[in-house]
Amino acid sequence: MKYKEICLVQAVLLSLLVVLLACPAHTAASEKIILKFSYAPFGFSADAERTFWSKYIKQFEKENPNIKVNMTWESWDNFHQKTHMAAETGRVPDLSYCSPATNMPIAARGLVLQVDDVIKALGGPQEFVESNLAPFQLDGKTYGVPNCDNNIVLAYRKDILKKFGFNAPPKTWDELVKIAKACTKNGVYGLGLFLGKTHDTRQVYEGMMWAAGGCEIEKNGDVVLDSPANLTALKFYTDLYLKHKVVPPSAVDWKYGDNANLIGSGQVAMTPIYGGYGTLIEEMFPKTYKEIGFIEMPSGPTGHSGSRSGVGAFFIFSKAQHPEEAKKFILFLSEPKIHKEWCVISGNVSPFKAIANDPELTKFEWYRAIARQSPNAVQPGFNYGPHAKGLDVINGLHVMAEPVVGVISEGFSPEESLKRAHKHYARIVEDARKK
Amino acid sequence: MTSYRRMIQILTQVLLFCGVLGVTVLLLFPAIVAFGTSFKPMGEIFTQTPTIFPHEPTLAAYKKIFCMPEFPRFLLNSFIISGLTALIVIIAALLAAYTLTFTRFPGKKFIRQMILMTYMFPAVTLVIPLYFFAHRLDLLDSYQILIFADLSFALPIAVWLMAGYFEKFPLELVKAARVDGCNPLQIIRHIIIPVMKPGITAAGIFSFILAWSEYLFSLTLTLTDESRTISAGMHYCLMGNYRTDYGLLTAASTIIVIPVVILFALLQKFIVGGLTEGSLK
Amino acid sequence: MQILIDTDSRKRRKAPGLFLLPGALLAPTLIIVFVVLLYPAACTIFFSLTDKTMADTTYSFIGLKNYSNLFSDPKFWMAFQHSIIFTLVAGSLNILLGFGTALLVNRAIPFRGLFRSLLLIPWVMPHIVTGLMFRWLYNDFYGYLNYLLIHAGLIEKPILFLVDRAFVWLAVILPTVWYEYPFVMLMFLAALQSISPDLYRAAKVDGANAFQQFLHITLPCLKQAFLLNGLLQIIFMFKSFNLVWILTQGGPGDRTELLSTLAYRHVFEGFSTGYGSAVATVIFLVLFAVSIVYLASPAIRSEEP
Repeated sequence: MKYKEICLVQAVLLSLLVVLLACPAHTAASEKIILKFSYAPFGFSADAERTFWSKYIKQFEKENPNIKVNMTWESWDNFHQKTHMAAETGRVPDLSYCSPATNMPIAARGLVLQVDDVIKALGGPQEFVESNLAPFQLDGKTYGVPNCDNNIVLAYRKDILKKFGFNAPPKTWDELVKIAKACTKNGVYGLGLFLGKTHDTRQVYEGMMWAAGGCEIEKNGDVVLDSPANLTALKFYTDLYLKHKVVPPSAVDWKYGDNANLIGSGQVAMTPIYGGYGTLIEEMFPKTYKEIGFIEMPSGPTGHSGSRSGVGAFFIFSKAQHPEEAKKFILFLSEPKIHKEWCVISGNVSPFKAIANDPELTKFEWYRAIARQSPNAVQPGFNYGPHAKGLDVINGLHVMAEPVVGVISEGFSPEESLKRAHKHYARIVEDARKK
Repeated sequence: MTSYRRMIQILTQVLLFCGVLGVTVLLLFPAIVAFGTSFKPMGEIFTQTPTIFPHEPTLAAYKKIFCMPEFPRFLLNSFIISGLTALIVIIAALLAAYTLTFTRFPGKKFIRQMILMTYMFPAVTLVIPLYFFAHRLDLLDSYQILIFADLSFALPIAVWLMAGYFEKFPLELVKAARVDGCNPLQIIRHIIIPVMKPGITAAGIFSFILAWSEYLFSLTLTLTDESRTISAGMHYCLMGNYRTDYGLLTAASTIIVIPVVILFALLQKFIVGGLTEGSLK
Repeated sequence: MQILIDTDSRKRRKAPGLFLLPGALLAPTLIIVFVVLLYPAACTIFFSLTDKTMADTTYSFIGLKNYSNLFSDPKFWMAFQHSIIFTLVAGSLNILLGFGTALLVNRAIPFRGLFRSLLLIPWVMPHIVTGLMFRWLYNDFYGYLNYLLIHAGLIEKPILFLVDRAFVWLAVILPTVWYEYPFVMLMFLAALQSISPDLYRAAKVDGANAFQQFLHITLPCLKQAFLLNGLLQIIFMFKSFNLVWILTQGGPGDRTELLSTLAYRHVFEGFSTGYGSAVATVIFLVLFAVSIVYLASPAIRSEEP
């Protein structure tokens, strides 16, 4: 029978597939509790972080012999999306680490565990810097344990500024323009300012709005993007490129980190940058690092400066299998000694009031800058308004970069550009509320 | 006369060689830059006068990668997944290509066209539904789902490629075998495989490389490091939110590229049939 | 050929069912290709008819509203136009370069195996690395390309390849071709190997020179390969995404926005699964229609055995 052999091969092939399908995907035959920890790198130097985590996971496992921590690093590109997919399927890690834009929309749907007990064990809410804890609170309940905060400060080249006769970095917007203009010479530009439709552009612009006295959304939920203060900020931002010509034209296409490379190699004299880059620039440009200073962003018309805060926190899904062990791990990592080491390695300011200005940390210039900047750093939508729906979409689409991009790349006037962005913003918020 | 001819022949060879060398260097310039960068110390990567090779070569980037505890696991996963993918592709594509070339049945052409449908959806929109599909089958974070995903992308090309070969196959041989009462499997085993090694190898290499360099599915459909491949592993651990470590990135890509180049260098002999050798004889 | 068909039809009469043999042999391929594909593809089409957003389990069916919104969006038509131009230009360049390199490394030269392997490297290089390497080459401060151009005296000021609207398409297509040509080269190389050396020997005896051999033997024998590569390039380039995204993210402004980047933008940045799926479905429908027309065209039909 000629089909016999066909059937045989088919059988072999199909059984191969079946075996593939039937193989248990997870062979967790250990008696230990496995704590699944999903993490996207929050620090700036990946290998320094790697060393930190493996060291303290080992120590934690030694102190808790019944627990094994299985840490999985995720790519930033798809962390947000994977967290949402995990929430939807219920196949969740025991512990995650993220910013409010990722976990608060899930928390609003009741899928995240309340962690007020952990906050209490750490000394209560009053122990935390308020602007770091508030983004994780909803209706008086807390859904994340803040662990780090970073914000945008001004990095400047001491050698270049000195060459043009400036012994101190700019303190106000006017001084910023003056110094940047003076330093723009011979292929070097005064200011490295992001101009494309990216995170960076919107984050720096959001800080400037704050310094000009503007905001995006009121406490009652009204969108107020087209305010005069925001227009002042937008004009100042775009004039730096269009009128004062102190920004390199290639900034239209910059991505995260491009300005760090340029200030390190001396192509720009100043740039707004996350203070944590300090750790990285030291590693990348060991020779020029001592020439790079960090200072708070210059003050705007309000008399205070403005910056964008990127706060990170631990959170636990409601469906997590081992929430108690996860809490134990959070408490372990919040111990002052470990936490201080984490702040230095990750390039973040501590959310704990008691530690934020610890001399062990403030001896680093970049750390001093972000610690001082911290009170004037905002987490838009989360800490100066209600938890408006649709903010994840607004972040995802970089709506707050649109005013700048409209002026720089699409030829609109600042007024027109801001109005268009306002409409887009309001439409997204309205759509999200309807659902 | 003969020596004059010989001279011409040698000269053509040299010219041709130089031509190929030139084209290769030109085409590979970005890869050469990447390779050179992987040996640069941090401070040398961004300089105003760009260099290709470092002044002070260092293996720091490679050391960092080899010190990663997950690294061997990623490598093993990649070999298992790519190897199994190539194996299954070869078997399945042989059967399918044979059927689509040597038998007649209604709808044959339609099927042949339809298997290209896999490529017609953008992969980025398929990946989320595939995640939920894998979740329902409890296959998330497993080799199986990654192999299936790779297979669905490697098989159509392999089938078309092999079918293209089979069409050039001397039909008399198949015909004679059928008259002798051989069944399709016997024909494939004893007649087609020995002659069609180049096509089979090519299909195998295609699938291996596709599976080896695939990262989107591997990144999304895995939850832990247990089943992640090296391409995805490198991707997520090197791409921080804040910067690109060009040293690590280029070192990682060198590590990803080298096994494939070696594999291809070893196997390309089989792809190389007789054309040039034959004509020189 | 004639006899083959006869044996087939005889078998058909004897066989238990018309589809049994081919069905059995095709089953593994069809199962793998369609089971893995069908569910996600059906989901995408279904989502395109709903107002689903990411991680939203309470969505409703809204019929063709996503499509009508899409078709009235000028950005969609612009992206559509970009995609077509990109496909034609990048696709033809891929085939030209792939065919050229295949011919080169098909000749008997020393270290041929090595050259073949080396030319393959761009295809194996992870996209993310390719994209970032090219971003780096283009850079105005420390990039190699501007450095070379300036030192060769061709330009005075660095060209901003990714910012300048005149250059950005070139800057996007270059790496795409660089990444894709080895695939085409491999396909042609495999096809070149299947040409019987006897044909060339016979041509030599007849006194044909190398060019005549190329014209009358190589090209006709590669017709099938050209057609297949043409179709695959249309498909691959029309939904090409990774490199464009890494290089420009569709910018500056909307200058390099393709349908694929538009789909990604809506699904992953705007989290509107429904709307993004509608864009993906349009991509699918276009490619599906093109491939049906392509494969039904007379040029291809005549090639079918």
